[in-house]
Amino acid sequence: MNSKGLACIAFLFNTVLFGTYYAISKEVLGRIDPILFTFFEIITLVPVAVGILIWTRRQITRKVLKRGFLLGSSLCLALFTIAIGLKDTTATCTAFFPSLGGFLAAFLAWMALRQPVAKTTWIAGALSIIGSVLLIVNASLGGLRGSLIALLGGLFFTGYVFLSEREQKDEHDP
Amino acid sequence: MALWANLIMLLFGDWNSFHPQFPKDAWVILYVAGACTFLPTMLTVLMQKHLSPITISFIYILEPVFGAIAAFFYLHEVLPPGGYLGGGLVVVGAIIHTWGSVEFRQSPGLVQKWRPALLSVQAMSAHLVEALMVPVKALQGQHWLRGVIALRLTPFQQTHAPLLLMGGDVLPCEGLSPIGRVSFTWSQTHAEEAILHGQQPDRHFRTTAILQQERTTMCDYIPTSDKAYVETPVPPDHRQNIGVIDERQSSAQETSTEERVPTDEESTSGTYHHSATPLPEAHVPPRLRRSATRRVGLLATMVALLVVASTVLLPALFSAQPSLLGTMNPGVVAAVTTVGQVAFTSSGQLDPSSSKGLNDMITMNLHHLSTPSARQSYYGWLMPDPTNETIKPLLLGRLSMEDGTAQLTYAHPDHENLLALYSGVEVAEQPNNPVPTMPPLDPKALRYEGFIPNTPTPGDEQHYSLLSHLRHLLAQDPTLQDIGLPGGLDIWLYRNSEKILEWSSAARDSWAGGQQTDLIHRQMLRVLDYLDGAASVFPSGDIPPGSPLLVDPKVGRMGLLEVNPTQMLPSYLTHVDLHLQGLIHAPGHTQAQQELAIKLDNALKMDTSLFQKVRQDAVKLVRMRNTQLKSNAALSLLNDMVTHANAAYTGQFDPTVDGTINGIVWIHNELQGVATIPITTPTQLIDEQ
Repeated sequence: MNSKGLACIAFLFNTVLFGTYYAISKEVLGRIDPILFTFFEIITLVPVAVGILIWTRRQITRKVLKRGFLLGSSLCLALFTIAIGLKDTTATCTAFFPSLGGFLAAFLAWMALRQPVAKTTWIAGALSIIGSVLLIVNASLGGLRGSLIALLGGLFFTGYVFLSEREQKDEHDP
Repeated sequence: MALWANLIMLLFGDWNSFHPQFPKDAWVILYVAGACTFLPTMLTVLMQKHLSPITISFIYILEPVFGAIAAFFYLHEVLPPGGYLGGGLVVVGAIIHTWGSVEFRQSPGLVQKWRPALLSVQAMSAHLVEALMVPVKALQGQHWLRGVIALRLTPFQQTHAPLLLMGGDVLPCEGLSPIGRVSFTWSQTHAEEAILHGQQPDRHFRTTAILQQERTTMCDYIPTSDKAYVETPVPPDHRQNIGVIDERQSSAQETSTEERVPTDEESTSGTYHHSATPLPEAHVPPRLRRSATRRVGLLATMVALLVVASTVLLPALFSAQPSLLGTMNPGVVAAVTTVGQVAFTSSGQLDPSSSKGLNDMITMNLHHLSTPSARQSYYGWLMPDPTNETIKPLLLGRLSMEDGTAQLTYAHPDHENLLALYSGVEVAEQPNNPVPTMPPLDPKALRYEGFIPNTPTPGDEQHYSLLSHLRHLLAQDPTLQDIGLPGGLDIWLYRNSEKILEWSSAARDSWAGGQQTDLIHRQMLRVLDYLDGAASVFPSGDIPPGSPLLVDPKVGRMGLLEVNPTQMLPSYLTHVDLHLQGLIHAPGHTQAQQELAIKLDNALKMDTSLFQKVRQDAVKLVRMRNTQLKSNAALSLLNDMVTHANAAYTGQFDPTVDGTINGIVWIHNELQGVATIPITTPTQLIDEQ
């Protein structure tokens, strides 16, 4: 098998792994507070992060720390929000909401940065909004709150992406 | 992130809702961290160079689909059709958006415009992946600006970090990763790769700009290096002027220098080579030759660290929970320590004139109990509502303890409906002899307690509490009492649904046993009577005028289905659903009750849909003439109706639990699970501490 095919399988595998996050976590969130669950999830990866930091210790500067702090904070917020949303609504609904991020990012780019948005993006946005409303309306008991929190989680991810964008622009246009 | 996680956990973490099942939950956390975060990160970093970002974006659109599939198989989670339609629209929107990004990028002059949209799609899908890579990305950017990138980056970064540079995430954005690789490995081989990858004209704006920047940066570095081989002179003004290189000019330069072999003199004279000819192996820096080995070593180290740390850390955290809490706030710990629960169950004894046999058994499971004093034992008491002084506490029995755990099962001798009368539990330490007849008056003898909260739900016009909802569902419902039916909504939903299946099957048997059309017609009337309710079946106009009511007017008064939105009596399915909704909004409900209510709500929606199909078939059949009822079309309808009635009543087989789920029988059994009382240490202990 060539490397492209292998990469396709790997990314498909990634997608499956990501997809299982919601169902696997959902069951545990019935017993563990989502804040504590996400805390344990992040803390479990601390050894790996420490390993990376040690590996790159000579390149750590104040600017690096600042950037890591900003991006890590926004991502952390998004992860916690998704977990809280997941607790209150179905895993299926929660899995669908982050898909809105693409449109939301484009919409924010249009609003904040005056960047043009393609017509297809507007069509995609309209479909996504209709889909979201259907998801929320058909959400189970307590699902409205959870759906809105999951949507908020998607927004935080969008903010995180924009923060990445800004940091990147600063990097190239000091 | 870890610092924030600690802070958020300390501020908002609810240790009341921390009841892990060890080691299962530890494995789940390990799986989420390792398989849903770490492994995808590594796979992405290693594999992304082989695929275009668009391909990756399209693959990642499948994430919610796999999420829904996983939820279906792992949690047996089923959304109403509208929910899946909504999810499908979101996915279609994402596909159109990604596709639109591809189209948009092919428009000259719009290079900068499509990027955020495409980037966001990729980043949304890769949010977890990036969690680990932020420091690497940031570090790399730092060196880019300093112009010493080629010297300081580790082999790992040389190979992978550039992929993070321009995109803002771990996926390659705009195909810039090859250029990044050129930047950081500064070898001829990679320069060739960069040029070959800059295939799309619209990309050239950025790639050449960066390439030019890299040339300038490398020229700053090259005079001090003895291992860089360069050929093309770089004008001094290029060091200051980072701009766009014309693609054709670059290609011409590449062609003209393609076969030249660099010399040591050239290598130190500030010239730059971007030939398509790979360098001889001897020209590759030793660091690059070791990079693969070191990369494998790094990955192995990371995996080992992850496994070892998780194995050690998680059990320690789980087992240390009480001590962790104790150091934070001893008073709160005492208030929230849950030692078990009490559940109401039904023996199934039937008394048509009363609710006896419902909720007539109590099961108490306690753990982590302290040991009572000598000649003392723990006694369990069922407590009436605080406002009801006419009912005395009921002794459940003495708890037999073993290793701090105790189990007690109590069955009322007269099968009284205990949930209708009692709402609290106390466990008190009292003398063995004589057996106590009343709970202790001294509050210090109270060891554990629990109650069903009776606080009205804010904003609820009916002022229903958690206790109200539980009683309406399982013990006694005022609407049913007005009709003259004992018990809660659940038991009548269960019994009437069973009748629907029974009459549907009987009608089909009547067709098979000689096409007895009169019997079929009567069974259809009964089915519609129970589905619509005696109060609504005639106004609906779906049965022939003058049809008699063939069911018990009391039992059949309330229908299973909502026929008319303005009807006076809500249907059973709607009524149960309303109380489940009220339950999860009522103050004091537990997480387990909420989870169960959500599952039951899903099942109720499915069964409602199935009963509506039963009704459609019944309406068609009841309007048929005798000759039509004898036809095969009638049999087909009867078969369809029985199938749907059976599915609604018994549910669907689930091989993972080796049983049926989501049917009315399943709802009836599971609904009893919401009638539980968590048992905790009493409030008085807080004051003592």
